[in-house]
Amino acid sequence: MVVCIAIGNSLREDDGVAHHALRLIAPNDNVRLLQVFQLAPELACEIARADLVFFLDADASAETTMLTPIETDGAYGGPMAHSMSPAEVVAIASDLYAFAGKALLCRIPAKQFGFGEELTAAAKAAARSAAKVIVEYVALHATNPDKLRLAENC
Amino acid sequence: MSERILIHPVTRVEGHAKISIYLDDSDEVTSAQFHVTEFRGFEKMCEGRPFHEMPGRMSRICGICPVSHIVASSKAGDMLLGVEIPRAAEVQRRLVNYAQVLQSHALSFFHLSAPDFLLGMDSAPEKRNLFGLIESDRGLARRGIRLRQFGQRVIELVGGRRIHPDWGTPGGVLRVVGAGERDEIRSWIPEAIESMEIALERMKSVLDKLKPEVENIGNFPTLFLGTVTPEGALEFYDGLIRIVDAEGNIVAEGLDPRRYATYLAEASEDWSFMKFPYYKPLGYPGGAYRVGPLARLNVAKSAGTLLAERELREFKHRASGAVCQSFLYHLARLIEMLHSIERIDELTDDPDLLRPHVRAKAGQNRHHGVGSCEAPRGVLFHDYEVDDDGLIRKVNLLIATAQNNLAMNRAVEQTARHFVKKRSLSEGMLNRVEAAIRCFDPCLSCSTHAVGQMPLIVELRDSTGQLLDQARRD
Repeated sequence: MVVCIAIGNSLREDDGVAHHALRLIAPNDNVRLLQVFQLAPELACEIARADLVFFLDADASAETTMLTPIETDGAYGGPMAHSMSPAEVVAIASDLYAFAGKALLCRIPAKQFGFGEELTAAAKAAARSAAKVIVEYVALHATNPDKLRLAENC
Repeated sequence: MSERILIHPVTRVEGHAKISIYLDDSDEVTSAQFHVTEFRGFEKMCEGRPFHEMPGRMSRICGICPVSHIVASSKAGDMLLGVEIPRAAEVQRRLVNYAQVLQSHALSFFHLSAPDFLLGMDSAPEKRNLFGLIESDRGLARRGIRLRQFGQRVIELVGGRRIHPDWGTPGGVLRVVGAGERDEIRSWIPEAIESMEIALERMKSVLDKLKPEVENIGNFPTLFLGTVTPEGALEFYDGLIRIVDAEGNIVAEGLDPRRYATYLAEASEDWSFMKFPYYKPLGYPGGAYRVGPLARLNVAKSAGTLLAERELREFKHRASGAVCQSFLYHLARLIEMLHSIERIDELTDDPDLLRPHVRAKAGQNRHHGVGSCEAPRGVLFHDYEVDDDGLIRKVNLLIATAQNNLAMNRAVEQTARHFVKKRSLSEGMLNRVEAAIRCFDPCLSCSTHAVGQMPLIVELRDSTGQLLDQARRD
């Protein structure tokens, strides 16, 4: 199973780019698409049985869409606030729920974080790019590559 | 030379705050204050907006308890419409509000506070968090995370999404629940009940080892205020306000929550953005009262569900009158989680849950509406005045955390007096002062209508206000 988790606030312009990218991936029985404002420990349960997990997030420092493997070494240890990093979620999933899949961070370029639900043109293009990168990665690496497709509106 | 210790930011609570501890010339604690340093102003920004928008707007106050704001706001809207909502809508609102209590309490207990009890108040601060709990007790950590997931899942299944669901509206709700959704909720119940029984036993065994904390962190007489059924049982959605004193005597009962302004008032202090509500007949600050899990169990004669009733009876035996130890908020929180799961189970058996008529439609029939419910941290009031066009003229929000403000300040001072020794100042001492605040699980985002996390600073000042030393933890 593939789980895609889009992080961000869709009321803050390009911060919602991950949510937009998620809507460009066609849902099916073999993929779970989750939209969240921020990461929380219970997401560890959601990814427990996944073969592949993608965390999609807006990144003001990224120039292009990038997939980065998530390393869990040293993920624990910071003061616990009420938001978490993808590495912390994956570490909890591994420690408590026997998660044995692969987790990747999809960094999507984003530039404008004002009030509003509209993405900039650049972020819209980056969202399409992110959806394609994920679908292509799944086609190459997942056990059921034919199950993930782009949505018709992509 | 007298000094001040400043704890800033306070950690493992929702929001921004700091604590000042004042020392006299002989280094004894003379007083302490809990300052809330954030401000957001939701009341003001709602002026001029249509009242139909209010449930959606108010849910944005908080990412932890948006449902409580949606429910109270929708009820205020019901009053403006002058309608009785369909039974299916009431069942949904009750169900989701219990889910809200469950997931919020799970966050408070397992993620934020349990590390103090289970790892020790003086354990390494970098381990005193959920990750430390995972290393120390994987089984309990796993169950705690699953309990929160269950509460969030119920909100998602009924309300459409976990945080800020677009679901509540004046006159009812906007979604119909299907049999599949109901059945999924039911499937979680056995595991959730089992987890609560394990957590309760664990907490009760730990309390015996925490007697200094139980007796000296926020243990003092106040009034307690909460909602009960007409028969006096625990109630979270719609009931009457009851107030008891520290001896357990009923001070007032049968109070209409819609008339809260006739018996509750709010004072302000120049050192905090959070107001100080009090019970009017006893004045300020003598009318200090507590709300939330401890208060609700103190005012309720019974729980109304089988397993929680057994726990409530045992809980009440901890005192001859009301249970006054704020540290026992944590135990009360667990009992309420058990009660919420039992109620969720009952509500999934209610045939009205699946009915498609979920909204009563009407035009505006009043200019003033008040809605209340029991939020995780205590009773919540939304009070709206609207003009002839249904536009908001004035909003007053009386939030649970603010109602505990006087008690939180008193708890901080009592804890500092007992545990803080200037000559041997340690992180564990300051953690106990923070723990006094965590008992109340304050949500400062709600209470100042602001957002953020709550770090901790401890500042040491002399009698002239000069800063001598500061410890900071982000």
